Amino acid sequence: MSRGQAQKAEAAGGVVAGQRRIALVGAPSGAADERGEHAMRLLDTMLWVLKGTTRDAWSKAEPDDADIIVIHRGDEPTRTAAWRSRGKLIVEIAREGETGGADDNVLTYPFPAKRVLELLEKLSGKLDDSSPAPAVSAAPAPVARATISDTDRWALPEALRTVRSVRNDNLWLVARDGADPVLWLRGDGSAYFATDAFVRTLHADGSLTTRLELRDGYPPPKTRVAERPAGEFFWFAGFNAGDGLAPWLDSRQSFRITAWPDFGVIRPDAAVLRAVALLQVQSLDVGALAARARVTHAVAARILNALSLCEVLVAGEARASRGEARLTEPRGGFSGFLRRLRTHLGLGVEA
Amino acid sequence: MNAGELKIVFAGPMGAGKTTAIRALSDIEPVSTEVGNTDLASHSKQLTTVALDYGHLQLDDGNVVKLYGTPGQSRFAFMWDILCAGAIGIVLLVDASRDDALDDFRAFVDTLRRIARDQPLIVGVGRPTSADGSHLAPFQAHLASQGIVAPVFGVDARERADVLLLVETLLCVLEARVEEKTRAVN
Amino acid sequence: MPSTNVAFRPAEFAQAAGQHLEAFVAANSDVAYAVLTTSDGFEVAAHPKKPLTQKLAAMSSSLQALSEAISREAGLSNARNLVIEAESGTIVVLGLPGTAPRMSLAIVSGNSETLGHLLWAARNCCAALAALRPG
Repeated sequence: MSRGQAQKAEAAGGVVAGQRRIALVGAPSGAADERGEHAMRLLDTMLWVLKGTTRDAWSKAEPDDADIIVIHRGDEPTRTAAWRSRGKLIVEIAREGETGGADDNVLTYPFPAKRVLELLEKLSGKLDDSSPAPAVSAAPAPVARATISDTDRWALPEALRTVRSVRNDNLWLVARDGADPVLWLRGDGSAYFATDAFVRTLHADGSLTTRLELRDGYPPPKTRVAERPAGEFFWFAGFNAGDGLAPWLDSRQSFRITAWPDFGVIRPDAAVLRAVALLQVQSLDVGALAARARVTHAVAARILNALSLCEVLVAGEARASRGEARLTEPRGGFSGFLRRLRTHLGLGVEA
Repeated sequence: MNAGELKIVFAGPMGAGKTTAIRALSDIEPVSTEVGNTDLASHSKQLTTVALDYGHLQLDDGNVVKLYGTPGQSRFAFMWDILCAGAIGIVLLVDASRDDALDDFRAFVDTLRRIARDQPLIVGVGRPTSADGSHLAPFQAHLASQGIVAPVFGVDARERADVLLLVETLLCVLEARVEEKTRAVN
Repeated sequence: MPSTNVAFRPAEFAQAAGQHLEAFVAANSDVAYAVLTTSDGFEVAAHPKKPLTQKLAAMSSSLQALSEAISREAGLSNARNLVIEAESGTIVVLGLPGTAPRMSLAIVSGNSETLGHLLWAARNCCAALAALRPG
């Protein structure tokens, strides 16, 4: 539901928007699971990206103060039962393939923002049916961040995916490198603002995006920063997140592109151009892409991650192959010719 | 066409940078057929190409890559057919600042689909009108509506590095096709 | 992208030129078309005026430009005329002396006249047209 729709619903005599509190509870110590932590972090991100689009306003709180408590499936049954007995609604995060569940308040990872939105609206309805929401304190409760991994390298890409899927243009997001705000991202995912120095570093330093933390923010300053295409930031955030395939991509799946990112801005290496060209012509999984583009598996995964974040990657077969134009065969065959042309233009030929 | 002669065509409306792009790449001083523009109401550029631009790359192995630039205006559309026939690829340059840029682009894409259906297409968009890259969106959307997957890059045709990016991308697509064809045969 | 054929020269010049072309065609029965064109391919005047003559104007300007280019490359100065001999006729494209930017006259003729006669008549026509040019 868009912000406009939520406001209309309110104006049309629906339930007056309320304040609701939600607690995100990490796995009990000793049972920490990377994928589970991804999931909780993803939900955390979605809550603030969805701000302004839900019927009620959701803020994070400690379990004791919360209306809804989100747990990992398999959390200690004792404390879960205790929360239920105090009238709190429980949401479980499960992983794909896990079966069973006490009720239908389950988010199966990976879950899209739309599913979270549906669930929040449903829970709002349930809470309306029961006792009134407790008074909300003026300041939001601090996030229980100690339970979520701070080195989650997929946090930024997941956040950006959420931004793209929700497209909330009422929002600005700020990325910080440590304490310093360095980047302002429009909530519809169309553009970002940063200094020239930051942009240079974004292109040159693969570790930059892994240090950034994206949070709910405010509009960019009027000076010092310039507007840039968001696709540039999305590319590097996806490319630099890590050596493996992103959690939302399947290593057995073949992929192709539906469009090219603007490489006029991104200026990737020749190997990347080669790989993306292959994905224009045929569908490949990560292993086949690595082999045919003559890059490492890690680089192939990075390319797929980046393309996915730029929303130009789809699963499935390539289009039916078109007829090949009858072309003059150059002396020495096409492959050799293309290599020599590259050399002549100073484009370099990979080993 | 003789063995060992291949060509790349630079197409697009007047003022998009075709002549400039060929000059940036060619081993020889390009042959130009630019004359005075008598229709300044339509375009303020002083000169316009009325037949073709010609340059070439002479490779050490004897292969020659001919670089042709087409005239921009539609009254010279007969030259597009002549020049594009048998090209290994088409680089379509666009001037995003023109009001009729999208109309021109649609017309060129339609023509190229007819006369150069199977040849790889690379699109270079110059003179950006937005800082957030949104000026590329209409061109990308039109290609998508036609079921065409082709690179659309923001470039400056006056910069050799940018022209090389377009040509290198074309070479990558050609290599990918050769690779796919080789696999299909084997 | 519409192909606009805008008049760049004063209307009087175009009208006078049209009359010269009409007289030329009348005096040379084998001539099918005579088209006066700007260097960038716009028809200034033609006889008989048909949709085809706009295309001939564009194509002859291309040929004129290529003629000048090849002459330059070959080290020859000032390309004057281009002659295309086809099985069933001849096309000549002549540059109009003293016009800047250079205009061209394209003539499409059958084969009954000798090439020499055609060129002589065409050059006379060119000279007359050039003398008409606006000041």
